[in-house]
Amino acid sequence: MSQKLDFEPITSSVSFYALQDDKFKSNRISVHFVLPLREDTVSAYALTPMILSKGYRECPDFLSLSRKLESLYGGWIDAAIKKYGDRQILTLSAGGMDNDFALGKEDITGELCDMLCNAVFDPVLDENGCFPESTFRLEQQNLLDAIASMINDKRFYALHRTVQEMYRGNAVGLNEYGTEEAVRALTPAAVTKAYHQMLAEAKVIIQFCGCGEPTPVREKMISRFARFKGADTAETEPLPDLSGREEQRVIERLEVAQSKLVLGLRIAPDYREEHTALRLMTMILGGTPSSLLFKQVREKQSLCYYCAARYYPSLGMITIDSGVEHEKAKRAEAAILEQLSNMQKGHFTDQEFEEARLAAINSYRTLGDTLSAINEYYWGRIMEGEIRTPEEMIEMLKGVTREDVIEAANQVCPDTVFLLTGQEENR
Amino acid sequence: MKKTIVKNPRIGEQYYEIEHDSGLKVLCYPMERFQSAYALFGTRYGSIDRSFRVDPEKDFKTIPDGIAHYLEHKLFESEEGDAFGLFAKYGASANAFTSFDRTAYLFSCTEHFGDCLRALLNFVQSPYFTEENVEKERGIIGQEIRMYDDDPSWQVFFQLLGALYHNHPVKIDIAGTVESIAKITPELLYDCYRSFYSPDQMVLAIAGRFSVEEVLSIVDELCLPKPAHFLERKQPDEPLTIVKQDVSQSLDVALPLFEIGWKEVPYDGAEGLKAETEITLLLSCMFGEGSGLYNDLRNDGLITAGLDQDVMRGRGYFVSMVGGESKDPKEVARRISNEVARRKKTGVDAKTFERVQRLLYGRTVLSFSRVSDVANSMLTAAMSDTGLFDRLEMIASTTVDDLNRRLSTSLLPERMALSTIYPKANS
Repeated sequence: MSQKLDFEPITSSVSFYALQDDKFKSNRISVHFVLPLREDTVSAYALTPMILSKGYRECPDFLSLSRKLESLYGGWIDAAIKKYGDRQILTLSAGGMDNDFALGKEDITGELCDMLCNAVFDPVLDENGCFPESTFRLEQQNLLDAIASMINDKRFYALHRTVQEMYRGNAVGLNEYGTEEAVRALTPAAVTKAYHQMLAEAKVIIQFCGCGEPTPVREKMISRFARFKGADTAETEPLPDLSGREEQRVIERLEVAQSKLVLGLRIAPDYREEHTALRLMTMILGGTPSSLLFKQVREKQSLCYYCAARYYPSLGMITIDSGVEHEKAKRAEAAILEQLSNMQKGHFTDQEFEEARLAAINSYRTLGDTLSAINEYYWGRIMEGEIRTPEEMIEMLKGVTREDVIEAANQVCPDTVFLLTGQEENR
Repeated sequence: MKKTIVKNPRIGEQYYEIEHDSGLKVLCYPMERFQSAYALFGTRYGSIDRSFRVDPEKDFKTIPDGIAHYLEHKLFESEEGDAFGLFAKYGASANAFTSFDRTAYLFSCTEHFGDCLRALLNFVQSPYFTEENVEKERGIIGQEIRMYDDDPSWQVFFQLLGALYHNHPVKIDIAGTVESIAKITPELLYDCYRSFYSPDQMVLAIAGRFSVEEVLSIVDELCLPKPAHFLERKQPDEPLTIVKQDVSQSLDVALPLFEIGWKEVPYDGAEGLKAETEITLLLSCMFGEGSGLYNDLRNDGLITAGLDQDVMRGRGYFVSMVGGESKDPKEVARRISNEVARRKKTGVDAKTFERVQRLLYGRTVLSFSRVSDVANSMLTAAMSDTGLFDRLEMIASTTVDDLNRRLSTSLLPERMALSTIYPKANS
């Protein structure tokens, strides 16, 4: 069964995408604001959806908003800040159980859609037309805490630091939240200005996904976004060319029991669009428990619990990461590089190749079973600029040959090696 | 073989419950409009089963901590190689997990369901442990343990269990320690396998796209009746009192993490589900986003990332929990404990109750549209001797009076402990 995405432009800068599948029991509506990722605006932009998602004029505080959402059978309104290449994406979304299951047949989806639009267009402002100081202070602290707490999850932190080091000095390397210093320097006036700038400059992508009827949601969106004039495109600038530079090595020390080793591999600039071959190559190398890295570095050499490769199309890179004993980080790196070299030389079996392809096909087929997964999948395709169904992706995967995979492996090379390890005196 | 259809008119769903002749319980929840099938094969054997006997005449024997989890890793290896390979050739993904009171093996597939189910039933029933393969796993699990040593949310949780339980093995890390796993041998693994992996201890739970007839014919073929053997788990001598009210340690984290827990009377079966549902509702009424306390804490900058509420229970343990991050966990704990005291006097009002009941009802309905959630919930329900729809019905039928009765016997101040992870002085 194919889940096709319907598209309808609302204005030149607002697009509405809908996917309806009645096997689900809920609906989700997301409004994405696509903006340039820039050092001078990143933090003010990041704070904007956080403030907007906490209340609006008719429902001005978090307590009344939360109570209203609880009454709507646990509906939710959420803010997310992400990046895609050199774009910063501010997302406000709402979701909840479908009307069909409501004990009193309430219009949950309609209410949530109105609440979401109110959050976007009708924020609480003080007498100076700014976000109130108290809301601003709370959310500013939330953002500061979110930046500081990145260190809590050491695996995630090490991956994040690798991207940052690899693209140091470029927009792509910026943290989507900005820096602690920049967040501290913000004022209610500066964030209110960012909010108006967001409305004036963004390309807006609205996604509806769920078992409910998309038409009423679309109608509401048309009426609320009719006069919206932002950017006409969400296209990113080409990623910086890192070719030819020497391998960078970064060591960071914390009091940790286990070292986190990350290899950031750059992809040759004119090969970055070959997503299917790169995706399959990454799967064979380290995407499944049958991958070369899992079998060799974990199962044969017992060096680690996890050793995985991940492909980031929007960053033009692949990461390989592992958690290892401090003393064995060098050995693990050598074992990883050996497997990368095996990929490049075509030293993998037909079975390994086919199994990775089957695993990739299986994951595309499974996507449509989860509302959040299929929604996220189509979001990626919208940003890539080509809306392919999972079935089309499967067909493309089927066309990839061994030679394509070997070629893909030869288009990547280690760029940045990041090691998060223990304090020297404890080693 | 006894086959029963369990229906829920409220959400229009049904599943099959089969008592197979082998003693195995089989639960099948067909979801025809989904692409994938998700199967779990689990046994009532987890980290807390550290002391048992299979002969009523003999003494209880105590085995090294972490052995159930070690056994899970080792069952994935057969004489022919690792079990991941069995699934990889069908493009399916396989995994396993061990918790306090269960171990489960699982796969997710979109094709070759029958082959995958055969592979699952075969490998779990074919232990193959050698000196060499058991030794090889020590490095891998050692790194898994180290990974959790650096995980502050795992540490804050086990530290809390250590403060609440004197003797119950729930306070011991599921994977054991590097020292305890050093004592694990092939003989011990075989011993535990024979004791805990018999069909009468096991459940097969399947959801998604598959045929019930095919499942039953494969189960007939591969699950042969075995004479039920004697098995007795030693009941830990655990008083209702707690060990300590306050425990803490320091790790490399940004903000202090805290987990407040109340040791409850460990009800099981239907009584356990009733207690769990009522306490979940109570926690939501008092500490959910729509509560006055949550909003006061938020407005005073005492919580930023939220306040998580949870209830966990199993054989001989039952804990109510509230946790999060805060610059001042002691102040949060003081206010939480004051709020519980206040509510014990005033009771929960009907309006709050109805709002929170809707919230929990909505969230529970949603779980029935995810294949993996359905399979996992069936396994959880079966392992605690309840039915899949019992929780939803329990939520719908609970009254505010039930809640206030429960409040008088649970969340007792003398059984409350605070566990905190503080940042290192130099962080």
